[in-house]
Amino acid sequence: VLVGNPNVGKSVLFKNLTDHYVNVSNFPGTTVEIVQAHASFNGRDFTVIDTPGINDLAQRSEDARVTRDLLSEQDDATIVQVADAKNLRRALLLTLQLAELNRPTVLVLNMADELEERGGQIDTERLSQILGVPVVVTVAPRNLGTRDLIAAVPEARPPHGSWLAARPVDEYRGNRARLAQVNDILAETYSMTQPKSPSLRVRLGFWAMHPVKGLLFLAAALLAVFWMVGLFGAGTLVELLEVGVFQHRVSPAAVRVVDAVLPFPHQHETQTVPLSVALPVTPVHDIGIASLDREVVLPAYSMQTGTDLSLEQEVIRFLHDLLVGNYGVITMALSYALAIVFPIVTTFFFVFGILEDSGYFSRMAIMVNRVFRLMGLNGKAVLPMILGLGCDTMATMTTRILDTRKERIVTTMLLALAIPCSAQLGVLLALMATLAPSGALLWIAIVVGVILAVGWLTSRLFPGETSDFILEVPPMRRPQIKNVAFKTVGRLNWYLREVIPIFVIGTIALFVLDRLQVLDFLARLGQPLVTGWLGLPAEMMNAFIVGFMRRDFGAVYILDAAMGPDPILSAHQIFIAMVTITLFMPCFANFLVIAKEHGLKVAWSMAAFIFPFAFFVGGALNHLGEWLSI
Amino acid sequence: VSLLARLLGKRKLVQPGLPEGIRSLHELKHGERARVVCLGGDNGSRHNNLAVFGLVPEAEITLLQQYPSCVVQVGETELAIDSAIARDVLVEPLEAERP
Repeated sequence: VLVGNPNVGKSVLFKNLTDHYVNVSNFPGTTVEIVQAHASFNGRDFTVIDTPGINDLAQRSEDARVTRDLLSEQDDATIVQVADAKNLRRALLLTLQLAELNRPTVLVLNMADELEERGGQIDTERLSQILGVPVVVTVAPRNLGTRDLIAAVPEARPPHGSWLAARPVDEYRGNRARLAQVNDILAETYSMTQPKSPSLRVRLGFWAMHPVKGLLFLAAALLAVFWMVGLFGAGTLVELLEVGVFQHRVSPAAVRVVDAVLPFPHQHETQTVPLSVALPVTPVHDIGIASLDREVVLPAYSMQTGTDLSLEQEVIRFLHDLLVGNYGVITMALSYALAIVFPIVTTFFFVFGILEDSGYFSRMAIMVNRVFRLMGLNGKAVLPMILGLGCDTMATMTTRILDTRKERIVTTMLLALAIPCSAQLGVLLALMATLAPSGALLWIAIVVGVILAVGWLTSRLFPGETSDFILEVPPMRRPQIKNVAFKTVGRLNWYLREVIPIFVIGTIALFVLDRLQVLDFLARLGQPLVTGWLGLPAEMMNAFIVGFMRRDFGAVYILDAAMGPDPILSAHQIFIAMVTITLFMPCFANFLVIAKEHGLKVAWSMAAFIFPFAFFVGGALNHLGEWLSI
Repeated sequence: VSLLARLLGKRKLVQPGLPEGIRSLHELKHGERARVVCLGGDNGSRHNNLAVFGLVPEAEITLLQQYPSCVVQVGETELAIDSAIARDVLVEPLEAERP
């Protein structure tokens, strides 16, 4: 069993021992569950178990529960404690706690290279003598020392008797007593020479937390994410897959196959769909690479007037529409999930993985902690918020990493309300390009203002504690492309399994609503609101309804109305529409995920707040704008 | 420590009367070294959360930055903590040894 503090490299070591890949990152707490795999060395079979990182084996602490339970279940297992060599003090605290279990133990000092870089030395022989267990030195990512570890496992012995003279009154006192002993051990085994001058990486790490340079750093990081995801992923790759693959090939083929299997008298429309692939530079400038026009069959069809369908034909038509209609499972759900969202989340996960492995997220959390406090959150919530810029639905699931229910609810709320997902961000930015720079700045100001105001309000209304912000800052490291690629594939795998079924269910629900004319009804119901209150043309109601089903589609609809062949929106109207659609709940899938994570009641109450609120803000801006005659 | 803990309970009232040389972690300046005297507050689970990172009374720390969040170095661990927590932690500044 591999046990150790968070972020010391247990999972990398696990991979070295078993060749079984697990998610690895430079953020404390990446492994949240137990992973096990078989391995055989020296002609014997072993089961190697990887555990979540723990700082404390105490009875009370919730994080340690999984590991504690595992250790008591596997009562004949050898404990391999993995330690960060540069943080020997904390590791030994855990060693002394583990010693009380009286089990065969090996102590692994990982990250020996980083210790050396900082000028530290550990007398491993002396340490082994004092503790009474074998001590092995490794550098896991370079696979150094793995052999030594394998050789040491049969040598594992229980550590010298209990270290605590008396039973401690409480955990805190116990840990203090242990730390005092750790200091004695350290005095004998650990020496630190004058550290070399800080390397560029160390200085970069400080800049990323600096009040001023840190902000520049943050801006640069966000810009890089935006280019990669918003422009390259959501632009180039989506065009390639959505238009090039799905519209040009898959969906016409699907229509033809379904028509052949389920025939009824109808005629599909055809249209010439242009494909142009380009390398983006800014939201409105790009370098063209290739373009291709192709005449394709659309899902939309017409029937000769006066055709009467028999009952059988009606059933066939229903199935036909369910598969390849406007809201069809193939033509909408799969093309949406695979051709639009998939490339975007792929690029996003890739960039996210790079940032994660570099150790930047902890620093980002430090930068924003003060602001997040106002909203009853702590800096750790920055992770789901950034993930939300990729896909809100996915980000909602990662709110699980937050400590209290209150923090999870507030974050989920803000994600659903005001964080535009990458699918939408691309279109919004294109829209923004049609406005004056002041308009774009105003949009950003309003969205940020809404996040702060609603966050503050929700945190006041929702009872509960905000957890203490205590976060270890990992060292900056150069991300390894291989690891990032592995991780991206792992997350995509998860995405395909978890999110795609939700898209399919959502589309089927939409299809049923469309059939029952509920969508038409909603459109008519909402029209006065759109024309009167928001001052937008009546057609825009469709954009809002479609927008909920597919947030990016709503924005595309507005884009069409703003910049298409016959623009019907003024700059003022574009601005209102942009703000309103940003504040809408991202998509139907997001609603389903909120319901899954927090229950249907929470999902409904969020929806009940978000939709009126989006209209309210949009309308208020409209009237304010007219009143000020901007 | 228990005396200090009692003092801490009424921190706002008695702060001017803190013993000579004892300050709150929040008042420490960039690069200063200090020895932790008391973690403050009466929050046992928080104490333990700090303790597992090595932040306990008697530990020697270096303040790395105060804004936007307090970051201290304990041994080779860099630990970010909320300013509100930093206010509660009492430290005794050590003579400047850093070059």
